[in-house]
Amino acid sequence: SFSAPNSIISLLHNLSNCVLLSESKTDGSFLIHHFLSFFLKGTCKVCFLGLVQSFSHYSTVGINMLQAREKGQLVFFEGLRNSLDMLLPESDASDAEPQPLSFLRWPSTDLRNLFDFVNSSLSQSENDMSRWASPVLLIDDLSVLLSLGVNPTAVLDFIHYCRMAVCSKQQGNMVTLVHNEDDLGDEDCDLVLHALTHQSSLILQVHGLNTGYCRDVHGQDKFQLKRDHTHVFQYKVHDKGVSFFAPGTSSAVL
Amino acid sequence: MLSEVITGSEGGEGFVLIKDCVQCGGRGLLKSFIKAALLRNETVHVFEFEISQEEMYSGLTDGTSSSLVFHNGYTDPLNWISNEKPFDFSIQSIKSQIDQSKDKESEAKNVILVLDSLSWLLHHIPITDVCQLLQEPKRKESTVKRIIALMHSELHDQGIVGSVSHMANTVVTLSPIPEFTTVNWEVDPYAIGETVQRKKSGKVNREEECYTVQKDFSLIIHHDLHNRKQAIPKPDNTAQVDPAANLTFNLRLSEEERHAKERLSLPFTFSEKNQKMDWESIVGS
Repeated sequence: SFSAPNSIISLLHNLSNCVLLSESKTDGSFLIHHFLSFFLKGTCKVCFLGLVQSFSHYSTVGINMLQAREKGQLVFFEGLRNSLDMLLPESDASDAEPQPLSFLRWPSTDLRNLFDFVNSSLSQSENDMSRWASPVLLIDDLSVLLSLGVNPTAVLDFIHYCRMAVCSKQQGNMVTLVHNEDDLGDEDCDLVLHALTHQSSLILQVHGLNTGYCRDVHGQDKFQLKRDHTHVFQYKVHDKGVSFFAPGTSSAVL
Repeated sequence: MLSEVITGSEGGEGFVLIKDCVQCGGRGLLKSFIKAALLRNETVHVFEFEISQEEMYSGLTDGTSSSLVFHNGYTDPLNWISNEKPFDFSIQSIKSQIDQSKDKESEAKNVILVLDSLSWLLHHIPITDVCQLLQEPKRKESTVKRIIALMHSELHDQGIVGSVSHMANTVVTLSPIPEFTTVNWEVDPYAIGETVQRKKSGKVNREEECYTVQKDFSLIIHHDLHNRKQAIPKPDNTAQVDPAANLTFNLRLSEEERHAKERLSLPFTFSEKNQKMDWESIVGS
């Protein structure tokens, strides 16, 4: 497997970055697994907003999420379970505390509570600062907020505050996954995608192959280091991770 | 033309709009404008909503210049963080903050107002208020001499982009560099800037230039844009194939074949020979 994407990704350790992952006609969540594993191994404090899958889904052979959570390295927000709690509250006592997903019950509000959750999860105490490297925010995925009826401006305000708190204030990294469906003409999705493209220093665009499904080459990934260099790699997802290779050099072909 | 707009030598008043796109951001050019104004010792008020103060100052100033007044709309514009000072980005507030820099002696217009970005303002306050602000250079009582605003074209309806562009004295629209055959640049070009300037006389000047913003935010214009643009020779893959070659049938008839065809009497037609339909020859006995 090609090491160049990893060297690009390793830049993330030295600089604070806003990384945009956009998936088009394919499932880009393997990149989320890749980054999660990368940052946990790099002893970063991670806040992971898992809005579309359960906790156990993300725990694989390479990523021991339970251990990371127990030692305080990982804060995982399980969107699916939390949304159910919001919509079917067991008691009214929960109303006293601001809920991260409060927008589900009061749709016209902003995502301030969700930001407060992220901010408090990643605020480094004295203890934290000696134990962990820079903080990381991972979001899988942002598009689901639009699907749930959140106004795109509210989504962008949320991202604005996350970037300010994580990247600018704490020199950390932020990785956000969005869907890119430019042929659907969804103005809200396009607005969010374009705005994030302006703000991000590293952009990874994952596409399914134009020629359709292939067993050995799952898709094509375009790495864009903020306009300076664009690298295109093809990839294949395995049980334990993903391998990248230059286009046309899949081991099945060579 | 772009250089003259930046130095302000071509009528430094009015509203300059920089429209960028996802392929080429306009912040470098915006900082170029700011740098030029600081070098002329002009008072510049930057209302910043998209990047931190450190990022904005980086390469531009060490922060000691009193000519640059930075208004921090990035850290907490919506008052979500309790221990931060709230930032009022309403038009009245912006105007009153600028008025504090009023040149009390000469009463002359002396403020250059930078909005980074106009897109952020348009998403958070009504467009009518924004347009009021953009009219400031025209108002005699205002201290604002010039407004320079960055707008991200893809983030708005074309109607809004059009309305705002219409209000501007000068519009610089950025687009990516097309593919060239020769890659022999001393300095890599960054983007194409199309500058459209509307003068008071009503005359409209337009120029397209290829530029790069240097690390010190000075501008390089690549003058021989069109000379370097060579026609990409079309590879002649489509050799002229004769579609009439190698057919399994004849397209033309020779003289003999034509006569034979004309002589042939078809069984289902009437002729002198066949007074009635010759069913037997059609069906077969």
